[in-house]
Amino acid sequence: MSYRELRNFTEMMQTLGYPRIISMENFREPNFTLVAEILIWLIQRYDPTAEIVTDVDTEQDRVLFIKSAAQFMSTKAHIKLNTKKLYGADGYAVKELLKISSLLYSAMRSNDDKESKDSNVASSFHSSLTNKMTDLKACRQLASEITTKGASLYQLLGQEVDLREARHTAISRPVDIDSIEKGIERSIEAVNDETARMKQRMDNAASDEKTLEIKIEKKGQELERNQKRLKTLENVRPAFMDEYERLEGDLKQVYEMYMEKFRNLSYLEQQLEDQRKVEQDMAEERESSLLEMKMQLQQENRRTLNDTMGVTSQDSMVDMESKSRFIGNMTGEGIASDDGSASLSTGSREDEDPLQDMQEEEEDEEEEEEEDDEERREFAEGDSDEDF
Amino acid sequence: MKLKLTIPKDLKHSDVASSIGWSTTSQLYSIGDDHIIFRWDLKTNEKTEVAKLPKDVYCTDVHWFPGHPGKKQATQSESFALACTDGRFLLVSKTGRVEKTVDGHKGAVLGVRWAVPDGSALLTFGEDGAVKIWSKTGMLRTVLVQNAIPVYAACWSPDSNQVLYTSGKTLIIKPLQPSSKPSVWKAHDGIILAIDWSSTAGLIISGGEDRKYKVWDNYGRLMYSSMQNDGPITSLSWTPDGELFAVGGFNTLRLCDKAGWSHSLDKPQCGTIFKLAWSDDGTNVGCASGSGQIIIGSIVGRRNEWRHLEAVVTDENSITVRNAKNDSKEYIILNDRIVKVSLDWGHLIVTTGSQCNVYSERNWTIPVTVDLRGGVVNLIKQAERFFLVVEVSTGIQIISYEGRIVSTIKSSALQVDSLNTHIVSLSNDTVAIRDSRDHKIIRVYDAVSGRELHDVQHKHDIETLDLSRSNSQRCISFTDKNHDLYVMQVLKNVTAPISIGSMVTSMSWNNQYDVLVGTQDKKVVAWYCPPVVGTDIDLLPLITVELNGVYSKNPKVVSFIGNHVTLRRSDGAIIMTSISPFPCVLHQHMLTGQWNSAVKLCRVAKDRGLWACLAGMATSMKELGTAIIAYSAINEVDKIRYLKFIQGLSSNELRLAELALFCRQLQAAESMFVQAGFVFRAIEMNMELFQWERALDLAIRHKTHVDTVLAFRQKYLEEIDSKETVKKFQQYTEKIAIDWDKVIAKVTLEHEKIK
Repeated sequence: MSYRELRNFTEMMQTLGYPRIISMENFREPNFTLVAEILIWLIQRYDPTAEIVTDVDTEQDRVLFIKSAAQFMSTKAHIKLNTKKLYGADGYAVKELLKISSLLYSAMRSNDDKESKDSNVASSFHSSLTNKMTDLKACRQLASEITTKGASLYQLLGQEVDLREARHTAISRPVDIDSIEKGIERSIEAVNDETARMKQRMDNAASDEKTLEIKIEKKGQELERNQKRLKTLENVRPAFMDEYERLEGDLKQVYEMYMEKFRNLSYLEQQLEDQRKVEQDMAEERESSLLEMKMQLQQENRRTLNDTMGVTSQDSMVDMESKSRFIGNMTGEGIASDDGSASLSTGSREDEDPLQDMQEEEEDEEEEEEEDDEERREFAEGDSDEDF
Repeated sequence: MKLKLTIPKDLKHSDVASSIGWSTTSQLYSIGDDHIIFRWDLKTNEKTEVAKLPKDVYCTDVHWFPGHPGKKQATQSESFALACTDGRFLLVSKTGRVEKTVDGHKGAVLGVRWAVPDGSALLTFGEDGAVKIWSKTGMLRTVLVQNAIPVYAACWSPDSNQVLYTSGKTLIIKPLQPSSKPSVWKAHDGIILAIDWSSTAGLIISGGEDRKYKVWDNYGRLMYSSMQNDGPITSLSWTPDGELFAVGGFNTLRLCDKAGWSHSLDKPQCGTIFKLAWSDDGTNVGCASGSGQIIIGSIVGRRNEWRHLEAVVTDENSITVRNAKNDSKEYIILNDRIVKVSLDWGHLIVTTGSQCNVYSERNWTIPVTVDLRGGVVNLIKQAERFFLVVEVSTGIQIISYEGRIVSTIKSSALQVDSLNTHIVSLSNDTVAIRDSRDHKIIRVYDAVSGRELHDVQHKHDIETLDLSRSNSQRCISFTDKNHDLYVMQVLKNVTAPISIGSMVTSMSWNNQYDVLVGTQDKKVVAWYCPPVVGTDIDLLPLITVELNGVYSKNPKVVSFIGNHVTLRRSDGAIIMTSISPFPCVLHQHMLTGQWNSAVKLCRVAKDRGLWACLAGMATSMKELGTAIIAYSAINEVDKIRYLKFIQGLSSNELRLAELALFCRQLQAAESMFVQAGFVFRAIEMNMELFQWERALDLAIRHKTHVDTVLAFRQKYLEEIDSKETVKKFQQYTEKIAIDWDKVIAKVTLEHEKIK
C-alpha cells in the first residue's frame, strides 16, 4: 500500500460524493465492513440497477459477496479485481477499489470538461454554416478553373510535337557542370544577400520598435507626472481667490440692488408718462368740449338775437348776420337798446359761468391726480423698501 | 479582509497537484503527479513548464531552501527539497535538475522542511514513523524519532532547537538535545494531517480529520479551537509575519486571524487543497489541489484606522483612504504590489517590493518615497516624529516622515525575521526590542543615534512590550509569559521593573499621556498613571480602575487614542469603549506644571484615583504642597505628616534625601545623607529599619555615634528578650561603655541640628 494511492483514493471518493469521510488510517488494520460498504456504494454508483448480495456477516457470505462483486465489475466494466486482495480488506484492497473509483472519477472529470465546452456548441454551429457557404463559392471557382486549365493543357500538348525536337537537342548537348555550379552558387549568394538584408531590416524594425516603446513609456510617464501635477495644481487655491470670491459676491448683491432700483425707477417713469398722457387727453377733450359749448352758446345767442329782430327765415341768415354784425359794429354803442344790451350782458355772463366752473373742476381733478400720484409713489417706495 | 482568488485556466496539472512553493515573491512553482514542474509568474501571468521529473518520482511535498537575508539582492531561493512516495527525497535546482537523490525512509516520505532562517538542516518525516535530520548536502545527522505510526506532519520551532511532529491524534514537541524530555499532548479527536509553527508569532496551528483546526501557544496551551468544518483539514500555513493563516480542506479555503477567528471562507471547486504556501511578503497564497488546479489567493481589503482616517487596501495595488470628517475619499494607485500598510499619527506608510511611500494627511497625491534595498518588509511601527521599518535584508531602519533615514539599528542579538509587532516598540526617543535569542532580555536603543542604551534583564520570557508615548519620563511596560505586567522607567534614570498587574494578556499606552490600558481575562483595566508606583507603591490599587462593560473572554487592546479604547474580542469583533476624560486632562496640567488647575480638577472630579495620580506625580516632581493636598484627599495621614516634616527641613539636600527615603530608595537616601554630611540621619535611618549591622558599620566608618548604635541595639534586644549574637556588636559592647543619658543628649543635639 502506498500513501499516494490512499490519498488519491480518499480524494476521489470525496469528489464522487461518498457520504462519510475516509481516514488515512482506515486501512492500516483490515476493515472488511468498510471495504464492503465502499464496494457496494461504488457498484451502485456504476449501475444503480445492479443487484448484489449485501450480506457480509459470515465468512461464506463475504466470499460470495466479493466474488459476485468482482464478477459484476468484470462483465459490466471490464475491470479485473483481485478477489484475494479485496478480501484482505487492507491497503492492498484500496488498490483494487482505486480501479473502480478512478474510472468513475475520470468519467466525472471528462464530463466536467465537456460541460464547459457545451456552451460553445451553438456558436460553432453558426460558424459551420457560414463555412459551408464559403466552401460552395470555392467549389464553383475551382470548377471554372478546371476547364480553363484543361484548355490550356490541350494547347500545350499540341505544341509538344514541335518542342520534342528542341528537347532532344538540349538533352544531347554536353552538360557544363562548372557553369551550372557557378550559376547555383551565384543564386545561393543572391539568396543569402537577400536574407541578410531582410534580417538587417528586421533588426532595424525591432530596434525601432524598442525605441518607440521606450518613447511611449517616457511619454506615458510624463503624462502621468503632468496629470499628477495638474491634480495638485487644481487642488492649489491662488491667494487672491478668497478675496475674488468675496468681491464677486458683493458685486452680485450690489447688482441686484441696482436692478431693483432701476426697475422701480422705470416703472415709476412709465407711470408718470401714462399719467401725463391721460392728462393731455383730458385737456384736449375739455378744450374741444369747451369749443363746442362756445359754438352752441354763440348759436343760441344768435337765435335769440334773431328772435328779437324778427327774422325767422334761414335764407336771410347770412344777410342778417352781416347785418347784425354790421349793426353791431356800426351801431354797437349807438343803437344799443335795453333789451339787446340786456340780452348781451346776460349772454356774456352765461358764457363766463360755465368756464369758471370748468376751471374749478379741472383744478379739483388735478388735485386728485396729484394725490393719486403720491399714493402710487408711496406704494412703489413701499415696494422697493420691501425689496430691500 | 478576504482572499481574492485567481484560478488560471491553463495552470492545471493533468493529475493531482501535490506540492507548491515560492522561489521569489512573484514566482510560484507547482508539481503534480503528472511529473511536470510548472512556474507561474505573478507579474506577467505567464506559465512556464520548467522541467519534467523522472517517471518514477511521485512528489508529496517540496520546501524551498530559505533565501539568505542580509544579501543585497532580493531574497531568492535557488533550490528545493522534494519528497517522494518511494522513500527518497531529492534536492532539485531551480531549473528542475535533480542534484542529489537520497534514500531517506521506508515507505513514502511525507514531508521535508528546511530549518529557518539559514537552512542549515533538513527535516524529513515519513510513513515509517521516522523523523530524521539531514545536513544541507543530504548526509544523515540524526534519527530524531522512531514512531510506530506514520508522521503526517512535522515542523521546526522558531529557533530551530525543537521539532514539532504529529503522532496520530497527539502533537509532540521534541527538543534536539538527546536527553531532554519531549512534551506531548492530545490535540485532536482525529488524525492530525497538518501543522505549522509561526516563527514570528510563536504559535502552533494544527488541523486534522476531526474537521477542526486549533491554535496553540508554544507551550501547548489551547488558544482557539474551530467549529467542525465540512471536511478534514488537509493543509495549514502561517503568513511570514504571523498575523494570519490559511486553512485548506476539501473545496475549502479559509483565511484566519492568528487568534483563530475566520476572516473569509472560499469554496473553489477544485477538490481537496493538499498544500498551501505563502509568498515571502505574505500577500499571496498558492494552493495545490486534488483536481490538479493551482489557485492563487491574494489578500485584499486590509483595513487600517486612525482617528478619522480609514485606509482600505482595495486591490493589489490600490488603496482607498476615507476621511470620516468630511466623508471625502482619496484613491491611491501604485505601480507595484502593496506589501504592508500602516496608518498612524496622520501618516500613511505603504511599502511595495522596492519602495516605501509616505503619504501625509495633508497631501495624498505626492508621497515621500524611500527606496528599500529589496527584501521584504515585515513590520512597520510609527511614532510621532518618525517610523521604524523592519526589512529582512537591511535590518531595522528608523526613517523620518520627510524620508530621511535617521538611524539604523544593528545588533547580533536581533533576528530580523522573527520580530513582530508585540515585541518591538517605538517612541519619539527610544526603541525597545526583545532579544531574539534570549527572550528574557529587552534591549533599549536610542532612536536618533541607533546606539544601544541599556538592556533590561527579566526573570521570565517576555511576551509583549510597549513604550509610553508621552513627552515626560519614558516608561516601558511589558508582560512576561506568566502574564504579569511590569512597568519601569527607561532612558534617563532607569528603575527596577515593578509589577502592577497579573493575568494581563494585552496592553497599550495612551497615544499622548502616561495612561495604560490592559486586559485581564474578562476585564479591561486602566492604570491612570503607572509611573507613580516608582514613588509610592501604595497608590497602585487607587490608580487601577476597572472599566465597566461586558467584554467577553480574553479581549485584546488594539489601540488607545485619546479617551477611546479599541478592543478586539476573541471572536474577532471590534468594540469601542472609553475611559474617563479626567486622567488625560490631569496629565496635561501636570506636564505643563499647572498644579493649581490640577488640584481644582481633582476637586471637581472627586475621584480617589485622580487624587492618587496627583499625589504620586506631585511627590515625584517635588511639589510638596500639592502632594500634601492630594494625600489628604485620600486620607493618607502618615504620608502627610512625613511630607510636612520634609517641608519643614532647612537644607535642600536633606529634603531630597528624605524624599528618596519616602520613595523607598534606601540606598540612594543613605548615600545622599552621608554626602550632605548628615551621618547621624543615615545611621538613624538604618536603626529604624533594624539594619543594625549597617548602622554600626556607618558609625564606625565615620567614627561617630558608635555608642548610640550600641545603646539602641541593647534596648532593642532587651525588648525582644534575646541575646547578642552578632560578633561585631559583642566586640564593641566590650570596648565601649554606654551612658544612656549621654546618648539621649547627643541624639537631641543632632535632631536640633537638622531643624
